Amino acid sequence: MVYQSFSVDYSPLNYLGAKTQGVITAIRNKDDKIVKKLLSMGVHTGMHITLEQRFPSFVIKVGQTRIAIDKNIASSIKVRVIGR
Amino acid sequence: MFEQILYPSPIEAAITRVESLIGDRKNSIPHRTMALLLLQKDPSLWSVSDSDMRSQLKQELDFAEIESIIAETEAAISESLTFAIAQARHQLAMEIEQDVTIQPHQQRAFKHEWLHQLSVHPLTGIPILLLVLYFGIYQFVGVFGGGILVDGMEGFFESEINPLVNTIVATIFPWTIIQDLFANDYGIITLGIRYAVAIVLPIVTIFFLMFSLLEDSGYLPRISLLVDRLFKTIGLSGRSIIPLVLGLGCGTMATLVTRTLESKRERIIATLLLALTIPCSAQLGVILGLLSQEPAALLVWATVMVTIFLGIGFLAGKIVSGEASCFYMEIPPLRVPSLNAILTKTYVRLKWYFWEILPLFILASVLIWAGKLTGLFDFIVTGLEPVMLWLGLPKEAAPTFLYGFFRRDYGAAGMFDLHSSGILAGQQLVVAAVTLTLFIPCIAQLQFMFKERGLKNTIAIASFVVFFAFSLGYFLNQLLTIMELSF
Amino acid sequence: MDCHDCHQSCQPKSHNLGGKLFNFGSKKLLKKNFSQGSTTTIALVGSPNVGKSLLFNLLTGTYVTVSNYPGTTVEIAKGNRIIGGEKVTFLDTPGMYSLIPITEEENVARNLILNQKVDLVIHVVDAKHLAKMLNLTLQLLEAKLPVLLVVNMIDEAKKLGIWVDENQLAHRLSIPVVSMAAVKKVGLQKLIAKVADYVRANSLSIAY
Repeated sequence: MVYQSFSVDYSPLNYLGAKTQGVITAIRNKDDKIVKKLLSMGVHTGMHITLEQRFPSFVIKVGQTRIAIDKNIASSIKVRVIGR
Repeated sequence: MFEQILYPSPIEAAITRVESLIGDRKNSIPHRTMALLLLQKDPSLWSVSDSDMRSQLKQELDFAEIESIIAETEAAISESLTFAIAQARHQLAMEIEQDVTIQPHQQRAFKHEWLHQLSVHPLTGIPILLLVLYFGIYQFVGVFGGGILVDGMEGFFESEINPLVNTIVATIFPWTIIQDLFANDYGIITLGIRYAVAIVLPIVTIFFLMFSLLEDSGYLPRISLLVDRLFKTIGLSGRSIIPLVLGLGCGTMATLVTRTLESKRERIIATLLLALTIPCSAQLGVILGLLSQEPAALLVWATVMVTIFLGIGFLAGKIVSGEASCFYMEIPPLRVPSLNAILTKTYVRLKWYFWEILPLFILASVLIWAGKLTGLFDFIVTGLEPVMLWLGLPKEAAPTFLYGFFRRDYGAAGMFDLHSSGILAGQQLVVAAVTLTLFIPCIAQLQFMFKERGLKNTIAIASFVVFFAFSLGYFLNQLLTIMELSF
Repeated sequence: MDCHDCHQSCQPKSHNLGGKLFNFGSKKLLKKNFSQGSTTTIALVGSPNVGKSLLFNLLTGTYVTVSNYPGTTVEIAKGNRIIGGEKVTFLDTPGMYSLIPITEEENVARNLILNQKVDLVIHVVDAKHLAKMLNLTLQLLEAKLPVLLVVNMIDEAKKLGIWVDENQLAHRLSIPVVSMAAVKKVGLQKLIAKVADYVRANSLSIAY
């Protein structure tokens, strides 16, 4: 069964513009390894996130940590936007 | 003792069930840890590739049962187990942090924030990267290290040390055979140690200084970030730039560092590109030193190398199977590195490098001596001579390729000798430089390839490299002749 | 320091890994590969960029290929120091974020602490990112490993206005905690004293 929910409040990070700020609502990916990686680097739900840049790589700031990720990983972070 | 983390009850139930599956097997690892690792699908526990072990494991542990426990629990908590377990742990970690630290009310900005922005913004970051490569690698390593320093030390060796050694050895040993082992054209001291100390050492030192500086300032991860998209097209990720840049220093060390790459596919491609296209610093220094007098020749060499790097990378990305690599990297704040740390790192790397290469240089001298003595060397050189002529090179270049196998830089150093005695010039220099850069990695790199990638991959990569190097040399020579380019 | 030996012994192929973890077959697999000739083996673990290798240098006086940034330390380095009258062997491991390995280098570090039976694990963390780092501490404690926590870079944390109460932290986790600024050698003596305490307690428990 394929079930997809879509809500404007919770968008994948790769659809957001640079400088967007938000709160991480979920981390989901087909590949379990990617979820593990993000968790181990301190990216958890409920944390504040800033998308600093989209090109050439996505750069996010979570807490005091700055991380560069590619588009695939960015798409697995779902964010509730709280401002720019 | 520290109290165990209590996970949400469905997870605790799952842990208990897996623990009972493990039973009372004697273990060095606590059952609870083992159960948690299994529930989080720990890769080294789950992917047992060997079929015998797999069946043995199956007898011992009911993987299907664990699988169904995971599925049931995930259905109950409607979340991935890995995620839920990590989240619970994270909650506790946050709670402890709250409890034991005083955090500032307002988050302070990172230090050197403006510099960070400049270094990662595509419009400014890429020009900065090119400037760093131009000044850091070309000017500092190539021109200063490979040119000025090498000329000075090499000249000193040729004019002062070699004649002295020759005289001393001649007085001690009356036999020419023994004299040749230590002195004269191919002696341990006059060739092996001279190459190591006067040509390789200055260049490698300068390179490692540069690399440590880039590393300690925090600039390397920023290069990864900038090149990730480009590298995805050649089957790599931005992470690979670190071993590849290190490969500009020493391919052997870089082959070892490919272990930090994520997927097997990425490691194979990076190893191949290191073996084929990335010149090590000694080679780079000599080539830049030789070709910088002829800007057109340098341009042809650089264009050919970049094209091959991207072309072969692109093809390898298509051919080598495996999952596509993903890219993530923590970007540490930029900082002014401490001079002390840089010098220490340079010293440590240099020490490793020097002890790794000096025995090989000495071995090469001994082998050349023995080879000359038995005629084997001449036999191989005679065999290589037609290949040289085929490439449009003088037949005197044959020994250079043979040395090149012992150390790539050794071969490059031999080229330096050929050029200074006027045998190699113009178009030949370009063809020789390209072929030697592509040509087989040195003995040490081959040894590490074997250790890291296994026999099959090593043989495949090495035979491809030899075949490709000579064929490309041939076509380049034909092309340059047709185009009537003169240098 | 013999890197090649380390490399071979701490990187078991995946198929004998199951054997190692489950203790199938030969019991010799679990013998202490690193601790021959010394009584105490201590592993330094932690994520990249926390000053682990620098601390290793301070403790042992051996210079390893130090690296603050990910991707350049791949071998396990080994060095000794006499502490509390005993020879203590320190192992510096490649950076790891979590007990579940993602890259091969993390696997090296993980297998070392889980299979080689080290006597003490010193987990080095960055005071600036305590919550993130405690994840691994909690995992290590969950695996019932003896852990000493080094909260490093307190100087940098103070500049950012972050203060860590080491006693409170030690109390919460029930393990010894030392706060340090390894770059300035702050806290080094205290760490050595704590290790000496451990070594003494350890040799007593063996003797009686």
